Amino acid sequence: MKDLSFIVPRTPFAQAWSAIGGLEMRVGRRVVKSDRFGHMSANISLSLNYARSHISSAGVEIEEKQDSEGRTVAFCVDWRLAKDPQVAKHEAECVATYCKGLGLNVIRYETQPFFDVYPVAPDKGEALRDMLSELAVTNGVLYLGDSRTDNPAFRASNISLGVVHDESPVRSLDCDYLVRFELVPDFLHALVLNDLKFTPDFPMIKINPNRRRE
Amino acid sequence: MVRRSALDRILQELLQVRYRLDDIEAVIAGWNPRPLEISESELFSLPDHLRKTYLTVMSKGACSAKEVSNISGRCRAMESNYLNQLVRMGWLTKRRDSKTIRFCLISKDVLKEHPQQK
Repeated sequence: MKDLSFIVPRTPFAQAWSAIGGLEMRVGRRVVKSDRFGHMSANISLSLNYARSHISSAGVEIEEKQDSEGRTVAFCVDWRLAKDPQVAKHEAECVATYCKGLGLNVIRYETQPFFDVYPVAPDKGEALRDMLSELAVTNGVLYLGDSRTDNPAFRASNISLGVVHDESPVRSLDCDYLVRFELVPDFLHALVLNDLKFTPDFPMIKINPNRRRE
Repeated sequence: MVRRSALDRILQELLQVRYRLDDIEAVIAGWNPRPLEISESELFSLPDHLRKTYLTVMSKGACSAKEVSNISGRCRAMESNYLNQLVRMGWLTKRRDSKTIRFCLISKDVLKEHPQQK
């Protein structure tokens, strides 16, 4: 859900990136933009100005998600480090209500003290399909994710792997298999040793008992 | 601290995945002629014993009967027989590489020249 300027420098191993919930994609050096949110970009600017002028609590961060041209296309309101969490939460809720009134999508993450505001509902499944189409990949896709927003992408992949950590909602992950966060390096190592062929026989891989899809 | 070290290790392992993918891509790019794309449904039209041989050539690239038999675990003579059957059926082509006969996937170019194949 981060923007390209955040992801790309941190992932020197990658060939393609989908950022801001699929609103922007980069394949090699080519940037591909989604045309799904054009009519809502003015409302993002309005709501961002509203958030800046109505949040006065110390420690509340408004993180802008910018496209490759420097336009703010989404933002996050984060009160994890607020000095007074109660007041901060109240102010953040006012911003959320204003954003919803403008028809924007407010994405919450379980009980986490932050939310994202998007011009359209981000769909990681659609983002994954768009990227595979750009890469001309039709098969052999393994997807790793750790939140409910990854469920559409789990369904769009051939093998889906949920990463389990203290904050992941394990029961709501609609993936084939599970792996604990601390064991992800071991899993990747095993994958390389096995010539990049996945097998559920890897010792760190567990079948997801809550899997819903057939 | 544990999280930080795990993330560092994940980064290292993902770099290894990238290097492996680069190797695979380099091998495939070196295949000449380029292999023909075969759909899964077409593959299932082959009997099991021939499909196993075909998939071995598909994953390894141009290879001899001995190399296929090392991977499949079946004897060389049998693999040689299956490989030649696949050549007659138009799924593979063969070429002589000094004393060794190498089998490889049929390419689009070959299909254009010999449309009766496959």
